[in-house]
Amino acid sequence: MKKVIKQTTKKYLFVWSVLIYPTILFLIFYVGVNLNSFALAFQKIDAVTSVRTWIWFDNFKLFFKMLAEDLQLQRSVINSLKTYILCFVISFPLMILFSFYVYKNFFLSKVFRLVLMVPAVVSSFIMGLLFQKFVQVGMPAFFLQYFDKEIPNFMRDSRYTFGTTIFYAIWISFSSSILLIPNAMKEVPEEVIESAELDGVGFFKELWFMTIPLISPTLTTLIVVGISGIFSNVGPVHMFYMYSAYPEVYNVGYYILVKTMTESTYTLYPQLATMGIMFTLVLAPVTIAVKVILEKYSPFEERKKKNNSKAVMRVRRNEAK
Amino acid sequence: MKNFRSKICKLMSLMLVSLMLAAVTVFSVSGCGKVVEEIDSNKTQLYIEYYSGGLGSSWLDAAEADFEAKYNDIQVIITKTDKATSMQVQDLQSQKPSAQIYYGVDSIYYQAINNGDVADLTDILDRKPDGDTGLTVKEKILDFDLWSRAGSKINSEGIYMLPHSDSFFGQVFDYDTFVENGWIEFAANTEQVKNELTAQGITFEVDAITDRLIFKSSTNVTNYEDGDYIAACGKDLKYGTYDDGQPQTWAEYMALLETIKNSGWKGFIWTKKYSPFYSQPVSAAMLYQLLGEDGLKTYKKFNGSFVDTLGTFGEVGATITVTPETGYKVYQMPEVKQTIQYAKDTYMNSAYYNEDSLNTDTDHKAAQNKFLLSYKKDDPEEGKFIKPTAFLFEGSWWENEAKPTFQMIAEEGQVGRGYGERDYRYMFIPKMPGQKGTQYYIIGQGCGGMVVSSKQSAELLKISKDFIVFSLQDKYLKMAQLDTGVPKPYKTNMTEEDYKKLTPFGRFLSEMVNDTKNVRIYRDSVEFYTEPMNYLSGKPDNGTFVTKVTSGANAGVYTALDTGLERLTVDEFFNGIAENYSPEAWAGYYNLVREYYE
Repeated sequence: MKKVIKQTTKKYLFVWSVLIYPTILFLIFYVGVNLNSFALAFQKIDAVTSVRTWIWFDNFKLFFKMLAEDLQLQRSVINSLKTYILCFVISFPLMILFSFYVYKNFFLSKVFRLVLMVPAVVSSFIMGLLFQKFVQVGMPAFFLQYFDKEIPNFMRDSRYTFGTTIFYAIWISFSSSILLIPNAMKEVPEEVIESAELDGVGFFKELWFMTIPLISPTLTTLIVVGISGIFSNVGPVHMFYMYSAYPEVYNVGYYILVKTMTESTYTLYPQLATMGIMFTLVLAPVTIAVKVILEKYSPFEERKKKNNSKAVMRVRRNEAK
Repeated sequence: MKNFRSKICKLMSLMLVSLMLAAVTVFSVSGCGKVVEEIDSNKTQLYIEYYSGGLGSSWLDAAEADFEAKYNDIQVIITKTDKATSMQVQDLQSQKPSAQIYYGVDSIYYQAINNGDVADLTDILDRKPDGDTGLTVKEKILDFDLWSRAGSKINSEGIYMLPHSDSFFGQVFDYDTFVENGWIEFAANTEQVKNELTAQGITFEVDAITDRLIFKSSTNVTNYEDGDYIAACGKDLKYGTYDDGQPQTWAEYMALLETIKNSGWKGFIWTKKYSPFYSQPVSAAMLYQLLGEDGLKTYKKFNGSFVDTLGTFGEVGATITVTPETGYKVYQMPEVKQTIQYAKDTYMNSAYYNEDSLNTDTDHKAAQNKFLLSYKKDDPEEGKFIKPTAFLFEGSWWENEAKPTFQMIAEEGQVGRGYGERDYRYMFIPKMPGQKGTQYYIIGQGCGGMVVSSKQSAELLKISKDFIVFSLQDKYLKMAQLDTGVPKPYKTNMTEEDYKKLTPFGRFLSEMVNDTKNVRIYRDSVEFYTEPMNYLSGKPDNGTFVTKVTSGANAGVYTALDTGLERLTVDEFFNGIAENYSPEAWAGYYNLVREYYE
């Protein structure tokens, strides 16, 4: 018995020593923080004593009032949705296309990979600064010198500011996807591709009918993660404008951030926690629904099911034999 | 194979556990990278938490050493941190705070004060740090009235916080450059001026070519050297002081900006990145100077009256009464609109600002660099990238902060432009039409306070108070000022020798702070926490110039003048403030405060 205990201890010592630290971090910084946030939504903080008292649903009533009256919050909600949709519509197909290009090792694909990976390697602060310099100093100087033309300041002119943040968000999102998607594509069995090539399948057909279905779990993950962050992503707004962004670039993540950081007391925290919960309540079912739908109708899942049923049939046949 | 795997597992476990233990040991011994003093078990430990920012700590180290030498049974342990005051307050609220004395980057201790987490320091106000012949602590504190209000409880009981540091904001200019370019107001070659100079003990001669007066010598201390042109005196009516040569009226100021523009220079640079912290104090100085003390009381306390010359509330010229319940009216005082107009006319005028000010990538250090490198405008290589700029909106610590740039400039051969070589000063807001203030207003932001934890033994509490009194000796206050150039909010006995050790900007600050007759240092960040309507109401603390545009292409909330005035007209901005501070919105703030009192 003692030997068994000793062996079990030895066996799990390593596992526990690896897991204990992240588990503690998870308990404190995820479970603890979220529980605290949840409780805050039903509480009020005294500005002087910091004592919390339960006020139950008052913050929720206030949230609906704010949503109805607060122009900036309304705009933030719209911008958050617009950002996700635009990024999804523009960025997602391009990401897949570029990834496929890189995966197929086409002309200059390694150069593309390197160029697109740079933002992931370089600090985001440096990238942001470079971008701001390029847009506000480099580009206007270039146009002035070579075309004798003054161009608007894309980060200050209200016609372009939101578009500029979207552009930056799309550009930066390429760097992570260019690592993720080609690696998923590499998992597609070579014999399948070779066979397709022998059958004369072209570039787009291979992408559309074979690669995309086979990497659909990765794509599903990307879509689901993106949706879950719609109302919490700040995007590049804080990096570009710190706490005094133009109203047209606000999104929900930034709205909450600014309110938290520029508030003189903690009294607003419960309202912000309520806001977080309400947006989660809206988004959680959508996220789950999208996940379920994508998984249900994923060609990959269907193939898996078919393979499984084939395997079951085979087993049954063997058993019958 | 199984045996091998087991061995590997064991080895890895041991390695990992050892690493974790090592990490725990290293962090606990080193205090996450900080060198921690060894505890002397034969002594009583006094722990101090000190916010160590750009205002130095050599004075505190010296006070610590001397205090330990004087009381050899006490060990002072100073932890230098960059913790926000809110973190210190949380620590003070805990059962066992980690220190006895806390020095903060600002003065936001009202929660600790009102909850009884900090000790009453009233009893040390009458103690004399410099001996029986010196001043009491109370007498030493600059603007004691303000600090006593900020340091007391909501019911005005006790004084739980004392001032620790001061910082001011303004428009920095290079006096030497202004003289070289002829942008300052020189003393006129008239009999009256000559008589005044003579009466002040200044000898001079007249430059035959320029007709300007040239300084030769003085029986009193001045900031001139032999051969310098004498500038017109400022509000203090003395020659050779901190405020000389500056425009005295708004018209002169505008003319100066036009001259600067016509010389190919830009007027202003600042960082909008940290808006509104750098530009707003300049506008606040304009506003407060326009309001004067009575108007400022109405504006800041939401209590009083003003004349509605704009007719915002009905009849033009009617007297509008403001109570805390109708406090939103103060944001529609005519002086607010006048300030917005002046901001638009000056630093938000595209003819005068350096375009880089509004770029998002210009942070405070980039702004400093652009200002300091203005001299390179004629450089054949670098000149084409330089937009020489006359004024920099900055805090009083800027010269200390920009030391690396000064060093780089000196290393490039411009030794005369190195640290402490040029005569940098703040340009005051000149007298504006209709202004009610009689002094120059300078805004104090980020003025730090110090508190003592109440959760300690009577013996430690006594030691804590003793240390505070000890550290307020003139020599430590002076040391702090000499180290950074920024005076502490206490009266000091600076000698001529001491002044010589300061940079010209440091001397300027010192003279400015001490001329309480002509300069009103309005410590806005401290004042904010003396009014419960500000901090109990949940009202945003970026306050004054927040505007809400409800329709059109520019709809939205703008939290600063520089962001808003890029797009909005003065009327739009002013009317938007009324939208932001509507009677309904104000009722929400007011009710929160009322609930607290009820």
